[in-house]
Amino acid sequence: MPRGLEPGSDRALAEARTYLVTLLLVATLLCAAVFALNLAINPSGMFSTGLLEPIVWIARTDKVRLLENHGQPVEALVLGSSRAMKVEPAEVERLTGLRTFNAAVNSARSEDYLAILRWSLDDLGARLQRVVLGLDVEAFHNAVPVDLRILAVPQLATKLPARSRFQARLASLQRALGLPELKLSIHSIRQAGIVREQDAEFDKAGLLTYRRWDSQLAEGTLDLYRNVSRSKADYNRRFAGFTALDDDRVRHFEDLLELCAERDIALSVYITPVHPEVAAELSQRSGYDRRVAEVRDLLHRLRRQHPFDLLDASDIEAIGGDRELFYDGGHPRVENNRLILAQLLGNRGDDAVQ
Amino acid sequence: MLFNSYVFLFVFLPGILLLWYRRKTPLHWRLATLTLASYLFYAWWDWRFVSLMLVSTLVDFLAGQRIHAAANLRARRGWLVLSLAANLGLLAFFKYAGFFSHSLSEVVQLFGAPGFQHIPDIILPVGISFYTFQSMSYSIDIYRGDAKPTRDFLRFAAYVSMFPQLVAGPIVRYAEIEKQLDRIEPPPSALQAAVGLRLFVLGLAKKLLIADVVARRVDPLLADSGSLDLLTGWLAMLGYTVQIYFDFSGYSDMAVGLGLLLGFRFPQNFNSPYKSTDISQFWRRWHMSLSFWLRDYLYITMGGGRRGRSRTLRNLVITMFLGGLWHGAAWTFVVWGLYHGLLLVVHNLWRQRATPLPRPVAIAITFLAVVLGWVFFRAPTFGDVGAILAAMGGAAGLGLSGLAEHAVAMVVVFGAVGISLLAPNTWEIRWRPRRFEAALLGMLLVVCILRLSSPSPFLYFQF
Repeated sequence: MPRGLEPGSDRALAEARTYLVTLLLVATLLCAAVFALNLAINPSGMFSTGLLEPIVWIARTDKVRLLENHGQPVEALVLGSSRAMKVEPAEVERLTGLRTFNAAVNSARSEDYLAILRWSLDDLGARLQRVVLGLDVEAFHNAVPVDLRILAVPQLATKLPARSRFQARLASLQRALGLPELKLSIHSIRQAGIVREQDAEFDKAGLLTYRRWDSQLAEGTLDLYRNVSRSKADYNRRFAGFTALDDDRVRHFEDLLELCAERDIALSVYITPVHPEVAAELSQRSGYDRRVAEVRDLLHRLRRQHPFDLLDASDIEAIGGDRELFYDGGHPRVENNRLILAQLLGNRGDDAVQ
Repeated sequence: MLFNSYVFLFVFLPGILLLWYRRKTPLHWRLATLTLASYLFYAWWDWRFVSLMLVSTLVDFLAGQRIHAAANLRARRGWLVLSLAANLGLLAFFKYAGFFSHSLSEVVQLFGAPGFQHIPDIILPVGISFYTFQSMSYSIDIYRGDAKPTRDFLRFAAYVSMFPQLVAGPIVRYAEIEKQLDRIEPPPSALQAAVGLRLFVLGLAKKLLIADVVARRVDPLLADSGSLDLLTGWLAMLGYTVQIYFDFSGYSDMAVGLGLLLGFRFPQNFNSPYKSTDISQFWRRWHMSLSFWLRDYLYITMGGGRRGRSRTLRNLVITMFLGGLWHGAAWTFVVWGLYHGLLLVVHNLWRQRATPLPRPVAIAITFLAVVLGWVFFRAPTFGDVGAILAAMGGAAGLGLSGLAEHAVAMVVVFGAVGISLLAPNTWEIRWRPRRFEAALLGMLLVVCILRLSSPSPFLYFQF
């Protein structure tokens, strides 16, 4: 029996009651204070309190702003994650003749693709003729929640599938009670008024320029294999809990296919590559090969219902790409992306796509 | 559902406590509430496996009544065998089928024959090792005449599924809880609730603020056992030694605390095991409910220490072998169990012939033996076992150049080792109803809540 649990007098019971009330009151007040602070400061941009600018860089905000102010009607959209941010709209335009915008956003999963497409069509009124989708295998991750950065962009948040939106709102409330968010809030207060330079920026068509990596590339000092080595740990973490394709995320992808079919939008999908060294590492340490095969099978199955162009570029060398033309373990350079686009869009014969 | 999750702390627990602390709820409704809440708690992890728990409960409920009513020994034995077969069958299929088929295939290949298709690893239903043992103890106790069967299925279902201790113990015997099930009306006193809440918060802090903090330092080291040296090898294994203690004893404290909040008194599961002066004492202080289960239902059933020295030693080794296998379907766990069996044999022989060692020396030797044992427990393969032991033996270099790099980890790990060896445990610290302590504990709870964002299941959930 834990000490102190011996039968007590009325006084002991009254003291126990005071003890309970004090403990619960202190805990409730402190939780409320932390929650209110994170809500007010909003360092991750999850809420629309707007007291201070979010301290984290949110590509989704930039892409939506750029697309809203694009000026000319967009006819083709590139969707995907940061791994598709270096897909040149000009190259798509050259191959298809359609005015293109790169709407890829970091850590995008199938619900992000769907939300961006829905917003572009329904709210922005874009008359899209083609969508090029750089599909990450992790877009169907079954153990990673919705990326909360989408909540910072109300235009996209409202277009999330209802279940994902609910999960994201719930997760944002939990996060507002977490230490990482509290640390960000404190950092945000300290940094208030200081102008920060971002490590990346987008041009008018949504194409990414990495300030550091692209200048290193120009100077010839980019250390690819150091970056690849650093990426390995990140990708190992990503794939560690990825045990199957998530049913909800598969459904979101099917919704995207249906939307394209309804609006008569041609869809070209390629499975994004990772650096061969990262792929080899993931093959050893995780179910990467199995997940790639599952995604491939899924796409082939769905293609029978809603035809779309498909290229499996997961092994960049298998399609004639170059392992030297990456920034790190997951981000191919424009040259590899041009090759992918050429095979996906350049030659529409069946032999060009897999 | 994890105790250290938002949904448990902010939805499930307040919900059940609100229902529980209504004064005029009849006993039957309380049992129904507890059972339904426990099934919901379990289904939150994977609803498909709820049926397994229900099967185990139904079989043992029926077997218990039939054993008690049976006219002769043969019939009693038959019903007991049915109960054991059903529970051990569930365990064998879900926990050991893949392991045994894989091992058998490898043995066949050793003799030159082609191996065969393995049974694929099946998802291990969380807590199955715990609730099957708890459920079996009911049938065995009735068979032995140590408990009487209940005619109320709801009461038995509540006993088997009780959410505070469902997935990782303590393993509670029916005889321990039978009378308490009659006393859950009215709700527990403020004194019991205060002590329960305090124990819950302290357990949560042990898990989140010690075990998880240590884990963040040592897991990366153990992920690459080949890169360990003398310094990092010892750091990693000392770290794991305290991680598993604070993780599991933290869970047990939370379970006991939740039990008290609902009006139940569960047995103590940890009693400062690293302060043990010999390995036998260690097993009377570590995962006590499992140790006593193995002692009462295995060791004593085999004859215990009553049939001569060699039979006693044999019984110890067999008991620990099965104890090792209970922990996991892998040969590393079997060897860990045999290692502890061997330590118990050595201790048994030593006790007869030598004078006791000075207390600090005895504690140090026991602690060292336990740390070495954890290598088999933690390492995923025997290759890793070899690499870690070699590193701890200095065969992979001293690694002294890494002193500065691992300074923080050393402070964290040695601090936790110090607490486990020197500080009183949560059951020994006397509760005093002071406002100051309550406020401090409230702050500790908030610090824990702030750390909930990184998911960290309890280590013993995998068993």
